[in-house]
Amino acid sequence: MKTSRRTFLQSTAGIAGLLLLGGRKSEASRLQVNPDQYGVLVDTTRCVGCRNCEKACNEINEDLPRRPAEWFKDETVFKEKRRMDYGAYTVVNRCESESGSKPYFTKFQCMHCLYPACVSACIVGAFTREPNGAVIYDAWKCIGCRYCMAACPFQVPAYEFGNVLTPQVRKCTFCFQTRLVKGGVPACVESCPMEVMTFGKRTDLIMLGRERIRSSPGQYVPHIYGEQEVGGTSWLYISGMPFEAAGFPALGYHPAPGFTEPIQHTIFKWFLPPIGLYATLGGVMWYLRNRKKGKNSNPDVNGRES
Amino acid sequence: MNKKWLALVVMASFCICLGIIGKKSGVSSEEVAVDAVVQESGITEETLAPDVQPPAVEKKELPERPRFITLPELFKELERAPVQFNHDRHARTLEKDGCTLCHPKNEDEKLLFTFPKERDESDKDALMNSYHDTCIACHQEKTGAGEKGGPVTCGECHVIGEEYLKREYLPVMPEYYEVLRDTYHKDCISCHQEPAKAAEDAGGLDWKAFYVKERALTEDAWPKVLFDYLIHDKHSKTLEEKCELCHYISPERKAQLAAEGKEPACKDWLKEIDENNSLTEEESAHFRCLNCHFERKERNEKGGPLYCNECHTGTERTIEEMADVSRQDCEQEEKILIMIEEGSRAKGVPFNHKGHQDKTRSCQDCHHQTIRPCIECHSVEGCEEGDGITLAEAYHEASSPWSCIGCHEIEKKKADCAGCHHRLKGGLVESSCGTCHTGERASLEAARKLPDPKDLFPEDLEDELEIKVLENEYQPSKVKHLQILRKLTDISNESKLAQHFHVEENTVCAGCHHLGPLEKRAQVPSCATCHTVRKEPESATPTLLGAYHQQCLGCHKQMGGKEEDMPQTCTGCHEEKKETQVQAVK
Repeated sequence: MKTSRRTFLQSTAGIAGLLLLGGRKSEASRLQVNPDQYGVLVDTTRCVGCRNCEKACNEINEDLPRRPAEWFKDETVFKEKRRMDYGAYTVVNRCESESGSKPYFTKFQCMHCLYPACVSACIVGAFTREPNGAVIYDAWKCIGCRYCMAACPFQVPAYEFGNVLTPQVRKCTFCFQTRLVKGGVPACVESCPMEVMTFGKRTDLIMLGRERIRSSPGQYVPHIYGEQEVGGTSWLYISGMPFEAAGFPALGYHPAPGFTEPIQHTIFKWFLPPIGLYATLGGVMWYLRNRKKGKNSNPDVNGRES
Repeated sequence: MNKKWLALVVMASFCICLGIIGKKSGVSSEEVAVDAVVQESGITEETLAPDVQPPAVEKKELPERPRFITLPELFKELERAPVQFNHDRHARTLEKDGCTLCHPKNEDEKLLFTFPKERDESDKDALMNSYHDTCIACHQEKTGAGEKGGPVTCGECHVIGEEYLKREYLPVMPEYYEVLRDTYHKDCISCHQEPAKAAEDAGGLDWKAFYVKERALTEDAWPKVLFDYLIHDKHSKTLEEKCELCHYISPERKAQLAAEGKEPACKDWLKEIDENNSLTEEESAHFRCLNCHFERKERNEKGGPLYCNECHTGTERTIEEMADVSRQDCEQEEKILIMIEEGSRAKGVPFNHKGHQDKTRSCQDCHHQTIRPCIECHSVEGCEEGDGITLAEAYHEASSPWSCIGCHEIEKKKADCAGCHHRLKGGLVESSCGTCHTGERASLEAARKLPDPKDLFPEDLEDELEIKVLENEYQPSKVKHLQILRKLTDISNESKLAQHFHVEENTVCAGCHHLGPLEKRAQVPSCATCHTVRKEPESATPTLLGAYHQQCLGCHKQMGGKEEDMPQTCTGCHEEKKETQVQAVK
């Protein structure tokens, strides 16, 4: 095979062009944040730990294992700090406040990040972020690699380890299919007797949160958790007790995928590493084989092979 | 020929690939740096977590704490980590050498608590050298003489201690917000954003820098000493020439009073300021207190504390602990009418000075450091001496613990009061002026106790209510209306503050019926008038379900009562229905 100067230049330019196309900017940070997207403001000072939200969540999500109504009235679950698992999209935890006397409750679920690390980490695109704010999961696409679980800064996605044949990753759906697309509000929001949660446009909720903090000085920690954490989340929290003590991780304000994605995507775009690797190996093999051939054969005086 | 071209193609593609990756990481280098900082802080906090307590608690009850020598106004930017200086450890080790080892004396043979003796503040290097010369020379001398010496190399003193890192990276704490919780500051981060570029309006400080700066001012120093009524009482009982020792009166004023045949009264002492004596508050306290304590010790008299942590304990006596301590007789009228000028638009405010003395820990709880009437510093228009805070602000600023309203706001957060008040609008409410500005002293005299609610509404007060509007899964809720009213009436009648401010006989009704005190039952609007059963979109008003639960459980939670008195669980208020009943309703 003879490579002309022209084909060489063409192929080099082609490869360079492909590389430039790939991973110009991180996938997640390219996502447009819809200013009208929904969110939920959770005012944890109101929560009394009745677990009605857990119950409503279990009722509406038929994928979850059924639990009897009595189980949601059992207060002994508060003895330990629970986490979301394959059986629950949301949990309420109790933490003792500093003064000791008043118990303090906090509801946890997927935060539905504006720049979700799970979407970025998923290699098959099983996670998507909807324009209305929900980060949802498609079990049909999932290959069970559990990269999402490692990537999530809040450690939300859980895995159905008990199910051998068709295990799924489980996390809060924001009631996307069941309620949001029908114009409803998430089941937990509706079920709460204390109206701890307010559903609305995220921008409005930030204003509402600020107003609450401002109008009751001293009652809240002056911070809306999720307004800026990891680039912002759809679920926002205001609290009367320091967030770290209430069980929230201390995170920076930069989206988690912002740093990892450009590198990861540049390297893996268009299968470049395997192509590069095999091209190199192939090149080496070809060179070695040719050299051997050259040694074995006896070139004549004119340099022609016999 | 072929080989060369193929090798070139492979090489070129790799070079381009590497170049682009390199470029990518170049672009995100800023992010990398920030992430690194975040990570670093995370790690330090984690590793700090087990021993965040002040490190040197050596078999003593009182904590020793190091002082960071940073002096930002003189040193500006530090080249090395600030020195953690432990004064008490030095003072106890060098007790036999005495204070004069480090501190100079003035002409009157009084100790001056400055350091070093030859302090040269002419420039940064001079000041640095005066510290280095003094400290290192002494450490070397002590080690040479076979005694316990100190460090002599740079890194031994300039250590990035855990305390410093902790302070640098700790997130903003809620108690800090208490100081700055006025409307302008909102939350620190809304102005002091990160990165600093976004915070240009806020003096170019991102929140971390802002936090470190403020913390350096507020936390670096020892906890302040509150010279409370008990300490004052001890001093005035023990010492003979009481007032002169600490307070000042000008010779002219003293002569004037002597000519009138009077002894100077408390308020005469407090009004005067020694203008020649321009020591700062800190210098003045150390100069006066410690010199006196040392002199008494030398004379083998009963003296006061000599070490830092004996005064700066960080704990303050409560009002209850000082209930039996006699308050200063300041020859102030017991009940006064605060009236700025005759015929002003607002009527005067009757004020019980004695009553407030009983409910404070020291005069300084209201009077700051120089105990003078408010108006002398806080003029009507505001002046420099009062930090530009006008008289009206000094009385009314709801966010300040010094002002009348601000202090009353803090009182309202106590469990007994918070049940009702946490949902009522605080601070200055429109039309509430007349509550204080009555213009007559007589309103202080009247013992306004609320009558029993049954006497107030003999006919139409319900003893027990049944709420069944939302009856579905649960049985109707029975509210012990009269019992609740009586409990709240008792709380109000026990508190002097509430007695004064709960003017209307039916004040406690407003705790739940929050449109205002009600005169007749007919005036009680149904909760469902505003709180609709279905959630109205875009409405911040709670639904009926939310309103009931927030009202009842919110109050129970704030008052922190026992489960049987103030239930905080579902079945505490309403029993559960059986399955069949629920279905029937549906």
